[in-house]
Amino acid sequence: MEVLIVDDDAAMREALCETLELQGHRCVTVSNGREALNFLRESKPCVILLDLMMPFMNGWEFRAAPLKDPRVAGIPVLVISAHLRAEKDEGDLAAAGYLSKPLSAERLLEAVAEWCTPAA
Amino acid sequence: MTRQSPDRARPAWLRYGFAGAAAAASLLATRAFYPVLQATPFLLGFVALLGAGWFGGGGPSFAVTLLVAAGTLFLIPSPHAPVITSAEAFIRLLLFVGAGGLASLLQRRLWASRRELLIALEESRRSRQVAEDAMIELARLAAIVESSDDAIVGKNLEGIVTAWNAAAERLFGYKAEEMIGHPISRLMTEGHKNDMRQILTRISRGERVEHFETIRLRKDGSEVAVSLSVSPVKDPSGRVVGAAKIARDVSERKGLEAERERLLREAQRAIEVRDAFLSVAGHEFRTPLAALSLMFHNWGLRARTEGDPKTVERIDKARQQVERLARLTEDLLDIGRISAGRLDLRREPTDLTAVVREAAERMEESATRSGSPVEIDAPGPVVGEWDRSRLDQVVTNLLTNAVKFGPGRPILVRVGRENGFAELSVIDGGIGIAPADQERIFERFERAVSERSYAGIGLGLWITRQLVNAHGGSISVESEPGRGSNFLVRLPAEAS
Repeated sequence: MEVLIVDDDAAMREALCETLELQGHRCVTVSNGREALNFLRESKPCVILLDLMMPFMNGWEFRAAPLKDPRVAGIPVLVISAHLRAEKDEGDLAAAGYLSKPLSAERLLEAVAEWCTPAA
Repeated sequence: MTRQSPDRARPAWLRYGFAGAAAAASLLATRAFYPVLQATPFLLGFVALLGAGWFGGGGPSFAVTLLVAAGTLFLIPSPHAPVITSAEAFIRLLLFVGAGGLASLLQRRLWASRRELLIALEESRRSRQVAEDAMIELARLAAIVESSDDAIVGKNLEGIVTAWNAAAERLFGYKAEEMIGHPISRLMTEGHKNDMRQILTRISRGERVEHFETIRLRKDGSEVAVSLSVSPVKDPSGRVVGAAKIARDVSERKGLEAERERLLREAQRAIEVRDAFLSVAGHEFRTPLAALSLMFHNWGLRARTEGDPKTVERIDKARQQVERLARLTEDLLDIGRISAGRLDLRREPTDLTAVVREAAERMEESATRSGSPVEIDAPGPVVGEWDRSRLDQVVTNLLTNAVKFGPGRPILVRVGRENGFAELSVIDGGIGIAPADQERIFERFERAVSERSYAGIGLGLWITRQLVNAHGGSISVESEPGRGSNFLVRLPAEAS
């Protein structure tokens, strides 16, 4: 299964995806919540890496939407944000984990490895 | 000058001596002219007693009476031929003594009256003196009141003006004759009519009203900010009969205060804008920093796989710079958090010794590179309820400074426990800090060294102190220029 990366920053998407791929994970990148929801209609990733501040559909709106859909409600979400310091700042995102930017590759891989197994 | 009463002015010996002399003189004269005075042998004695009475009062007069009576009996015309030779002569003697006694009583009464009169005169003179002194004092006070720079106004309990000095004329624009006898309420603005009632209520209770700031109306209709001090005026029985008011024009001070307030608001607003900018900028830096950090990580990994040590080394250096940039960004973000009181601590049981060892290990490479090996002197775990990452920030900041300002000198880190406090000492042998700078270095954007010689934005120690304070601890420094510094952090710790 792949990792779904939802981030409006192209460089960030690319860097996240490359880091994961170098460890044998597969990833799909989208740039906002709406695209993520479209993707989730057809696929079920092992984990979603979710940025919070994005145009069209931000992380909070996106998080509110799939929670109502039983098909995707069970997919773990790792929130990656530049605005995180304490989890309580982000309200009830029901996230499986929180990663604060700037984040280290080690921390990222450790968090993802909890939910996804590398293909090779 | 005081005038003495007449009997005090003439001593008794003089008055009675005079009486004796007068009696003797009258007897001698009567004896000498006895043939002429035979029919009235007491005539000269009577004159003598009147004279003694005039000179010495009732007592000497009566003494003369007795002396003359006795002398006449035995001496006139001669001791051997007494004057009392018949019942008629004896009656004459008795009449003289009676008349002399009566005259003496009258003299005594006259003297008492004279004395009372003199005392009354003296009292009247003193009263006049007191009145004169009071008038002089009053004139002096009036001159002070008149020359005062503060407006001084007298009024009765009905609020009718009774006194109005020159400064009051200048302040309010009304002449004394326009105000005296008129209600003070003409100085009140619509919004401050209640002031006077409040003030008069307090005054009638005998209280003073001090530095009461309000607005008054000038004759020309303009308003003036005044500070009033009002005291009750009491009559001699202690009853409050009016009020004395001192009014000072505080418009200028008010204006300055308003200006100061405005500047303060502007400064606060500027700080808020700055902090908001730092916060936004800091957050905006985080995403590219995160991307850069991951990219360098990935490139490094590839270079290692491809066996390109030179590239690996370059990429590691680049990663260190990204990490430094990330730390600076976090420092900038901390300004906003601390200023806004949003520094949330995630307290958990944390071992200070472990935090110190981890930080020292992380910094080992840079410390060794600058020739400052870190030695740790710790007895064992020192545990407290602290925010681990913030504590790490404190230790890292102090270690970074020790490396930065003491290259080539070893660094000693001591961890211990003292009276319920965990103690952390970071001791370097670096350039040291002058006494005048030792408190300043904990301020925001303050640096004790030239920015041409040492990089940095002057936030590290300020943030360190804020973090330590947020934990309920304290940080201090002992230092001597040229000999190094000892930064001592004390944090409330759990009992071991």
